[in-house]
Amino acid sequence: MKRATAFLIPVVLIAAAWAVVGKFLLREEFHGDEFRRPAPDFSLTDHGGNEFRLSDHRGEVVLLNFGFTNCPDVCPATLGALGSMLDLLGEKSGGARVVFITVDPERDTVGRLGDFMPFFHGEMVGLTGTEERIRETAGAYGVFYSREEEKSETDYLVRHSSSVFLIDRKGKMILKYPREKLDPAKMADDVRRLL
Amino acid sequence: MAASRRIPLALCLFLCALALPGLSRSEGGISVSGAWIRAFPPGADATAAYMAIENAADADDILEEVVCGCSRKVSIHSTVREAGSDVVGMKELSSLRIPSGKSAVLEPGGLHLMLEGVRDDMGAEAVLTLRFSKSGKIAVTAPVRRSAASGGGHHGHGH
Repeated sequence: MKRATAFLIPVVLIAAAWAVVGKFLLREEFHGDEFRRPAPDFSLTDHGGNEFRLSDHRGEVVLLNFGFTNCPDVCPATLGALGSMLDLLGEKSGGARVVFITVDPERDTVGRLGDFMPFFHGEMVGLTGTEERIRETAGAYGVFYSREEEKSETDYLVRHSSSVFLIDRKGKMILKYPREKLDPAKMADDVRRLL
Repeated sequence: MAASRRIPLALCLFLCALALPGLSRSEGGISVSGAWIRAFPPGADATAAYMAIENAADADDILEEVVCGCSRKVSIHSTVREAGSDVVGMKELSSLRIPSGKSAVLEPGGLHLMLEGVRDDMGAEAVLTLRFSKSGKIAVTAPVRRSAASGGGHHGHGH
């Protein structure tokens, strides 16, 4: 009996210490790449034709990405992952906003984004604007884009930065997810931590 | 008598094997598996198709052309990420060599077939016809899906 107690005490102590340390360490562990800086504000037009200003969405966790609707491979995969993330958040998805900014405003009009966005998730927001506004916004986020494989004025693809930015409720950028880290469950985890 | 009864059975099994979805085999040693087309929003112009192409033959083979009744044009593309950045672009390939004994895996974020001018009425699947320099034409039935892992759309509104 005594021997069993003597054996149990260190085991319990180690387990308790491990739990405290683990909880403390895990709290700070995000799944994307740390990218802490203020999120530049912008004002663009959403896929319903209304103004969307980032600073009006303080209090929400914003996941921001850039792309274009004629993108066959990368953009739908990104939006698919973000849609699954919103599904995983369930009731909490109201506190998260997924925002897709086109880098092809010439073809991606309000109407086209209106067809495109709900396919991925009913709560996602697609943004467009003048060529100038888009260039300004992308530039502020360090997002690069340029046309390629230009076969005609209407037939072309766009090279672009593919990361997703995570912005907290105070308007600060916290993380950047490169394409290989777009895991819906892990992103949902990060969002929950910030809500 | 017994032998003659077995022939229709063998024929049936053979035909059943031919009809296996997503798996197509040519006499030249090329086999295609796991084909799927990425589901796309209404009004979209482009999407991608993915699959694994295996070449069991003794010689290399070359995928030269792909056609689909479901789109105006099909081309072979590779998504490439620029070194040291998160910028992605696409490179069009005029053909795709499948070395003897090797497989080419077309998957999201890498090699893929780009379908342009896609038909909104594509439905649940479409047939892609792949033409190889040695093996000739192979028809592949590809289901339309949201992603490689999951089946149909769970939050789509359909069209």
